[in-house]
Amino acid sequence: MADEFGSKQNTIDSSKLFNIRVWEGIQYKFAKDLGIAIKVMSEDGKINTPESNFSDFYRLLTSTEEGRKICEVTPDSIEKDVRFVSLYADCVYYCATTYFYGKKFNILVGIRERKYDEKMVKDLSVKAGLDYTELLEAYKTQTVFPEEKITNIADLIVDLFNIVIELSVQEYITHMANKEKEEEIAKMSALMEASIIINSTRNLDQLLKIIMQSAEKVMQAEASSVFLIDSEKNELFFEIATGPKEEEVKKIRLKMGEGIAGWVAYTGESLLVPDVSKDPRFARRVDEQTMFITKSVICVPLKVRNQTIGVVQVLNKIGGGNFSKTEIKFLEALASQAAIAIENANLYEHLEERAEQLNKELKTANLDLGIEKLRIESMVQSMEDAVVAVNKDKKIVMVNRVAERIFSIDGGAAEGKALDDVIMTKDIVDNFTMVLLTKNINKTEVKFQLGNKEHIFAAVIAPIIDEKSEAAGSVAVFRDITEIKELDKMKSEFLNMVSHELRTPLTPIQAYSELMMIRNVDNEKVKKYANIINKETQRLGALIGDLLDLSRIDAGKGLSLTLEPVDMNELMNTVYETFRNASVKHKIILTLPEKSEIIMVDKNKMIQVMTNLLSNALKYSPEGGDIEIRTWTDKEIFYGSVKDSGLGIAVEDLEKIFDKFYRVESEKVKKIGGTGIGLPIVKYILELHNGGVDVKSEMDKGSEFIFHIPIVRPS
Amino acid sequence: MAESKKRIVVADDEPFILSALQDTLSDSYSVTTASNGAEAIKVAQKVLPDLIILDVMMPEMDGLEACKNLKRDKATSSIPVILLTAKGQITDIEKGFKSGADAYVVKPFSPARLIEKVEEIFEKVEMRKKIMEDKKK
Repeated sequence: MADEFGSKQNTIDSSKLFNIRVWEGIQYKFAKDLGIAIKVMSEDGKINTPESNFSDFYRLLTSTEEGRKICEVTPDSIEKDVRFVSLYADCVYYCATTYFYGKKFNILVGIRERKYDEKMVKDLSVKAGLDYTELLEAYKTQTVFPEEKITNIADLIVDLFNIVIELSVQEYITHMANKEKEEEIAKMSALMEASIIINSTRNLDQLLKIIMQSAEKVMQAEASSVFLIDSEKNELFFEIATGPKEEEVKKIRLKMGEGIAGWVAYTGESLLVPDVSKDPRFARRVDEQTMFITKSVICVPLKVRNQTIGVVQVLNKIGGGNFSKTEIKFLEALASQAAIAIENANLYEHLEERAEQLNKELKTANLDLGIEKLRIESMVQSMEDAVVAVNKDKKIVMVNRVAERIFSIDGGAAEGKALDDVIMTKDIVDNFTMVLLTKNINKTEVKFQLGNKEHIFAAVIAPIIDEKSEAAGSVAVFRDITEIKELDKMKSEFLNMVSHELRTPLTPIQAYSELMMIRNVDNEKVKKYANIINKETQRLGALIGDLLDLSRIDAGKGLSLTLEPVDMNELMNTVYETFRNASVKHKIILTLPEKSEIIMVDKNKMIQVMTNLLSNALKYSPEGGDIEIRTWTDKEIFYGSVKDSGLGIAVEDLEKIFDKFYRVESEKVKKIGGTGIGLPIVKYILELHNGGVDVKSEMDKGSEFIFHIPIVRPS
Repeated sequence: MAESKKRIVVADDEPFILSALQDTLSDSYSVTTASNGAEAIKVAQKVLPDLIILDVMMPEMDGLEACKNLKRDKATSSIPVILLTAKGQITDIEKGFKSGADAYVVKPFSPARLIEKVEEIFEKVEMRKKIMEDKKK
């Protein structure tokens, strides 16, 4: 975090940020109340405040055009390395210099005591076209200060100036940091929205459209489109296009490898093209046909189970800016959401197709009994979905093995029996009846007990229509979607928690930065507020870091280690200092061996491990108490332990807490925020170091996390 | 203003959010803090404030439960409650209103908006009072 800001500060142009109004207010105060004349000039001339000088002499002198010229001061008027400089009319100013972000500022403070020079005033009155006696009178009454006093005041003024400029820069940095976080949040919530929509609608077209619209909104793009691959013709066609040329675009097809979209579909790799006119892969044909002018493109593949089925692209940043690399990541995340949508929609389509196909085959079978029937039966038997077929009297004609298993039917004994004698779930029986009556396909989700667990099935029941267009029976296909549903639920709970966890630090950040803007807060409060903002920004940064790590691990890219010799006692002390005052209810006790170990580890990742373990210890001991950190070495293995006296973990949860997104299902824990990604990352990082982590815990007594890594000493 | 400051009880388990609430409101109101729902109820019964602001997700007792309890207790049932939450989904808002909450503010909140909301609630209370008095006449 510090590095990030450090590099930002180097590129800050202090003169642009300088809060000139505040400074001019200070200048005015000094001139009006104390008679001190002040002027500030940056060496490059970008900042040049008007001289604040309320003396009659200055007022009189600047009342004529000529006089104003005499009083004009430019950076060139000041010689280098002088302490005192005579600016005009024998008025001598102390010249203090200060540097800020590589820029030199001259701060002129006057006016120093001097001898009256009547001849000079006379010459001046002629030059400026003013009355001599009047000018002399004013000259004599000018407030002047002894040299020593001027020097002291100037020091104070330089300090004040530095404070104003420092505050201006801080204000800017806070503003920028907030802006970045806000963008991050907007992206997160767009992702969340997409996942909520996916769970609530099955209309693929509408789904993809909403997803793309949110992509456009967040990325501020002019247009976007989704292409799918037509694998028979080896072409790409537009599934969805939004933006001004929607209708024209939809008629166009691209060859595989043609254009940016074709390229991405072909290679399966994401692509950011900032200026398409310079990229030979760009297909001008589409622009010509649609009269749209493509400037920049982000295009990412749409993958279902690692197979590219299409691409998603976003065109032209509104206002002509550039897309950034992080936006590729965002679009990839959206594309994976879109892929889930497609998969979900396809699941139902497939089941429907399968039911219809079976229906057809059954019809043929009725006409041509014998071998054909056996063939179909063997095919149906080998299916992984459950199949149940009934005749028009709702007597079972056929069940396959999977159906026998899930409905607990004795092998071969079901045929000829009434459906409601075999299947006990009333909903399913009712649906069969409905299909026979209406002759329409029925698609639904049904739940029933399987073993000691409730399973969810996607069910499609289709009528079998005979040659007289009557319902001769119906056939149902059931697919177990329990696992998909559970994953889905875990994912949406995770998204909810992430939203909560992101908003928690964001709340004080927004509140305090707004309070600083809308209220006149004194310096002490500014410090307090900025401190809170800084702390919460770091917390937000750590969380986003965890999320990014997780997505890297998830994408199979893994994390890479940067090993360096690390003094482990020093590392533990650093972590301890950060957390020492984190909570008033807790006391953190650090016990370290006298002799520290210096071992090869990834310093930042180890800090991440300790930060995660300690925040957990604090979080899950809401009543407070001692938190002990200990490290020791045994047989060339380094051990570290974080022990709390909090809620503890139930035995059945102990294994699962290291699983991604897993959160303990207890009322107490649910009221405590958390995303369920901290411990999986801890475990992953330690395993990368060839180590591991264990947990000991007792309900209501507390938990102890002990990690170990083999000691590798620097060679 | 001659009359004394209106009193507000705020509860949140995040210390910085709690201090942000306090710093936002303490210029114009007298603010008492609590770090969970159970504590908020205790404080509210003692202080009998003019308004209570509760975070929804808190350990010990969450804001929804605390709100229900406050509305059930005769001594505190007429005190308006604002729920503060990181969740913005419709179902949660419904839950909030079912618990008897009078208004809803989503985190992160804008201090200016929050003050507006607080003033709005106080105005409503005043109006209700006036109407009741008019009826009596």
